[in-house]
Amino acid sequence: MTTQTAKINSVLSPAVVHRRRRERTERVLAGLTVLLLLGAWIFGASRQGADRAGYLAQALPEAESFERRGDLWVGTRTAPEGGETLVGYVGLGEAPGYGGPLEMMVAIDPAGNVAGVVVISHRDTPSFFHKLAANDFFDQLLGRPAGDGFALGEDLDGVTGATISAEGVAGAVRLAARDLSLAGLGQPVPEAPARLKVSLPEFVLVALYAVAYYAHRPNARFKNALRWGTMLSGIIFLGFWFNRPLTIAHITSLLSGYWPDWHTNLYWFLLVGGVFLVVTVDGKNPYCSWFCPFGAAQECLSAVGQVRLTPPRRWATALTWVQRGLAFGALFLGLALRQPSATSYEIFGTLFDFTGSRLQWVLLFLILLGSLFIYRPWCNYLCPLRPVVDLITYLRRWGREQWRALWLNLRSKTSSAESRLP
Amino acid sequence: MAKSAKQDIFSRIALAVILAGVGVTLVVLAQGVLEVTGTELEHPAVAQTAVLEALPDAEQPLVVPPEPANTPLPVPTIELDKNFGADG
Repeated sequence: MTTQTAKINSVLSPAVVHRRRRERTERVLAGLTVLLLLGAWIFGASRQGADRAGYLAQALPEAESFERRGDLWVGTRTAPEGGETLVGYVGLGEAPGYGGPLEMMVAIDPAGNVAGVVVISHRDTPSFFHKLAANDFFDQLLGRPAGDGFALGEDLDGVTGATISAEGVAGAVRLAARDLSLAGLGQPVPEAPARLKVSLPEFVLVALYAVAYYAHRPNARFKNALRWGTMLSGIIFLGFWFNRPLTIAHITSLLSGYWPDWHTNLYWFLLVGGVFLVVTVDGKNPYCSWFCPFGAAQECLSAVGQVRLTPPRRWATALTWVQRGLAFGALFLGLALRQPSATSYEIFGTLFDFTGSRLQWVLLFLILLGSLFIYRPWCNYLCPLRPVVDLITYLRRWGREQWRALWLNLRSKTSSAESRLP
Repeated sequence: MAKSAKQDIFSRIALAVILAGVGVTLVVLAQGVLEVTGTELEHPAVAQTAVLEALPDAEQPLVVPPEPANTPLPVPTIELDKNFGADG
């Protein structure tokens, strides 16, 4: 501590000194958090991809050897009469999945039909892929002409609860098949124009944002009724029906640059963009208290329990930092590993889709039981989204303060310069 | 029992529930990370299948092989260099 600071502190009350110290610590930690996340981002971006040649035999098992030609591989086998027989062409396709880019290896036979598909890499929750396999989604892809549209709901049957993963797989196969058709068979496939897909989830989300935005204003009428309305709608629609609540995976995907195609995933942009926009511009959180389905479920249980216990006050700061530490760990690892879904520790899918590991069920039981006598235990002590919103709010406030100080400084300099003018 | 003592006990119960939640959450997070880093250490072709097989009732692997053909593919023996590519 410098002599000057010590002198200033000696004339200030202990409370003010304590507050200033806390603010300084928070400022340092916020800066450190941003720097560490940036480091994780750079580390994740520099990581090497998978060894794709290892998948060739699985994509086209009938081929005995593969030869690399530009962006594709040519699979051949030895013919009984000697010489080599062309078995097919193998190539790669990439499209956005739920947690990030999803890469598929696709083989087509010389007639131009899909002969094999292999998932090279994905960043989605494994249970989504289990659903695709269990619903024979991959089997639908086989035997289709390379020029097929591979469109969900038209050419292919979608899979409820894994729509974005299914769209990712279909999109990656479509791209790979088209490339192979052109480069391997010399048959160009015209690119179908992208069509904007707007359905019930998008309408519901916009309606919830609109109601929440209106009702959060101080002079709003029927505030309590509207809040319960949005919360129950959140449980029904965003929870049990669509199973698409906001998770830390969305934030990690956003920061990683894993943005889905907005034509087919407008909901993703509305959900993430809406929260970021309102928090950044207005400083208010339109989601958590208003239509987060998991938060609403806890609040319903809290209303049933009619008891609101809080942990001892001396633990409050420690628990806040534990929650921030969990959120930071999930974001840091998600960015470093480039696996947004793997570090998304939320248990929303366990409640709304009834899927999860034993530990996730244990955690869900603890939270639901705790909700009967603690107000929103997940939101207040474990949810990684709250610290993210806190950080954005803090950076927003800090930015505004800096801007105001800069503006006042400029104004005072300008006025003093003007006063010196003859 | 005094009211403050009762409150103290209830506060401690709330704290215990929250700390148990923190502990389980940490394990869930660690499991997710280990699942990813563990599979990356294996051969990539095995790795993606392993992710699915780790699920309790996973029955089908991610890799979908083509249907075994009963008859040989109707393709002629070709010279690759002449028949390959967009301009081939």
